[in-house]
Amino acid sequence: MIASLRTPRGLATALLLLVLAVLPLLTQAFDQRYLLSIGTRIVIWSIAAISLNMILGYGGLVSFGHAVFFGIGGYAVGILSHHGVQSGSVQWPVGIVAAALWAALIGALSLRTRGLYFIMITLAFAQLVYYVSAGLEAYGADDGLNISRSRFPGLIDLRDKASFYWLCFALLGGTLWFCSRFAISRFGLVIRGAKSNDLRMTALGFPVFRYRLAAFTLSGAFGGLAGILLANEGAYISPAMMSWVKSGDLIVIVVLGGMGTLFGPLYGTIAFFVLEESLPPLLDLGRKGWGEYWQIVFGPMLVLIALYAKGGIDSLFGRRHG
Amino acid sequence: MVEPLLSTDRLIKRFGGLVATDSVSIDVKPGEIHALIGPNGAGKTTLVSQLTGNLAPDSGAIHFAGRDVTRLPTHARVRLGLARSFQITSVLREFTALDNVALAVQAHAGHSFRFLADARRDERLRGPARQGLADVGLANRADTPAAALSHGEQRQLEIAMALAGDPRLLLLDEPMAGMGVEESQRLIGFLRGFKGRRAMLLIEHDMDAVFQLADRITVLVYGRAIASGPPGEIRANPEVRQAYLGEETA
Repeated sequence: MIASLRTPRGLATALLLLVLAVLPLLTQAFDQRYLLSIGTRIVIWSIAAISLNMILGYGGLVSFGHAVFFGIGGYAVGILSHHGVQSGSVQWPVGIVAAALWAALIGALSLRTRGLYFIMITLAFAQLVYYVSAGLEAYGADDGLNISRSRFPGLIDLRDKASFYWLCFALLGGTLWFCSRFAISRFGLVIRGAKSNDLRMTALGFPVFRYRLAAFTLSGAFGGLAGILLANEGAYISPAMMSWVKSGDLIVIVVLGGMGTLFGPLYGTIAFFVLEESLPPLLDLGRKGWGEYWQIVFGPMLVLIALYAKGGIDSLFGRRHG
Repeated sequence: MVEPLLSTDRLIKRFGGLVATDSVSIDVKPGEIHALIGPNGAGKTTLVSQLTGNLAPDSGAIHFAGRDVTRLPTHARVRLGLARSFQITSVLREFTALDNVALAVQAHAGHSFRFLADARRDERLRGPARQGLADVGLANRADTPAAALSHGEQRQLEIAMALAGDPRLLLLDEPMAGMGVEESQRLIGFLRGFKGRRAMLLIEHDMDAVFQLADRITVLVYGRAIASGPPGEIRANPEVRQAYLGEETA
C-alpha cells in the first residue's frame, strides 16, 4: 500500500479516494449541496461501472443491457415501498437477488452466442424489461413513481444526505475490494483467460460457459445494488433508469476509464460526470446556446480516446502489469 | 490383448457431399505413440476435432478410457485425461508463460469457483507449473508474456500446458509445424522421453519425426484409413507409397 503510493497511479488513486471519503465535509464547508448529489451519483454509477467491468473488461463480453439492473434494483425498492414495505433489510436483498436471477436468465441464453449476437440479445432483454416497466400503470408507467427511501431503523437514516453518501461510498469500497480479489482469483483468471482465448480454455478443461454465467450473475447482483442506491438517491424510479442510453453510457464509462482495470470504472465515471456537467456551461461561454450541443464535443473526445488511449484513462498512468 | 485407451468405431463425418471422415476405426493403446499421417485434405484435422469434441460425428462412436465419449463436451473429455495441442498455436497471449501453465494446472485442480484468494500466489498451482515449464525447457521464460515468445517456444509452451493435467492421452496436432530443424529435434527428443509411458496420437507432416517416434502409423487418404501398422510395414506398403509417401519424395 505504502509502496504503491510512490507510483503516479497509486498517488492519484489515493488522493481521489481521500477526496471522495470526505466529500460531504467539503461540500458542506463550501456550501455546495448540489455537488454532494452529483458525488453520490458518481459513487453509485461507479459501482455499476465496476460490475459491468467484471464481464466487459475482464471477461470481454460486451453486454449492452447493463442498465436493466439499475431498473430491477430500483423497481424492487419502488414496488415494495409502494406496497408499504419500507424496510431496507427486506427491499435490498430482494433487489439484489432479483437482479442476480434476471442476470442468470439473460446469461443462460445470451452467453451461448458471440459477438454482435451477444450484444443484440443483452440489449433485447433490457428493452423487454424497459417496456414492461413502462406499461406498469400501477407503478406510474412511463412517468415512474415517487418513493420514500428505504428504512433501516436504528442503523442509518438515508434521508440524511451525508449519511446516505457515506453508505454509498462504503459500498463502493466493498465493491472495489471484491473486484480486486476477483481479478486475481482462480475464478477471475478463468474469466480473463476466456477473454484471451476461450477455445484454449475449453481445451484445457474449463467449462467456460458455466464460469461466464456465474460472472454474469455476480455482475448483475452488483448492478442491482447500484439500482437500489440510485432509486434511493432520487427517491424516484422510472423506466428511464434502464433505457438503452444508460447502458451505452455505462459502456462508454468503462472504455473511457480503462477496461479490465480495477480503478478504471471509477476514473471513467468521474470523467463522464465532470464532462457532462462542465461541457455545457463551458460551451455556453463561447456562445449562448452552444451548451445544448455539448455531445458534439464529447463524441469526438471519446473517439480520440478509443483510437489513441486504448487502455483509457488508466493507461495515462503508464502500463500496468498483472 | 491390451484394452485400447482410445478407439473410434466407424466414425463418419460429412460436409455436404464431401465425406471428410469415412468410416474410420482407429485406436491408441496405453503407452503407445500412434501417428496419423496423410496428405493435405485427408481429413486429419476433422478427425481430431471429433476426438476432442469440437465437432460431432454424423455416425459412429468414440470410446475413451472405457467410456463412450461420443456426445461428451470438450471440457469433460479433458477432465477424463484427453489433452491436446493445436495445429495453429493456441496460447493465452496476454498471460505470462507461467500463468499459461498454471491455468492448465488449475483446470485439473477441482472447480475454480474461488473468488478471493490470489491464484498467482498459490503454490499448488505455481509449483507444478514451474516444473512443467522446466520440463519443456522454458524455465527461464516463465515471466515472459506468451505473445513475446518465439514460435518454437510457444509450441513448447503448448506442450507444457497439455501435459499439466498429467493426461492419459496426448493429442498432438502437428506439434512440429513451423519449427526449425533444431527445435524439431529437441521436441522429438522430449516426446521420445515419454515413449512407453504416455499414450499419444500424433498428427504430423514431418516424416522424420513420425518414423522416429511412432510405434504405429495410420495413413489417412480422402477420409479413409488405407493402412495401419508399424513404421517399417507402412514404409514398405506400396499403396501408401503411391498415395502419400510417393508424392512427398517425388
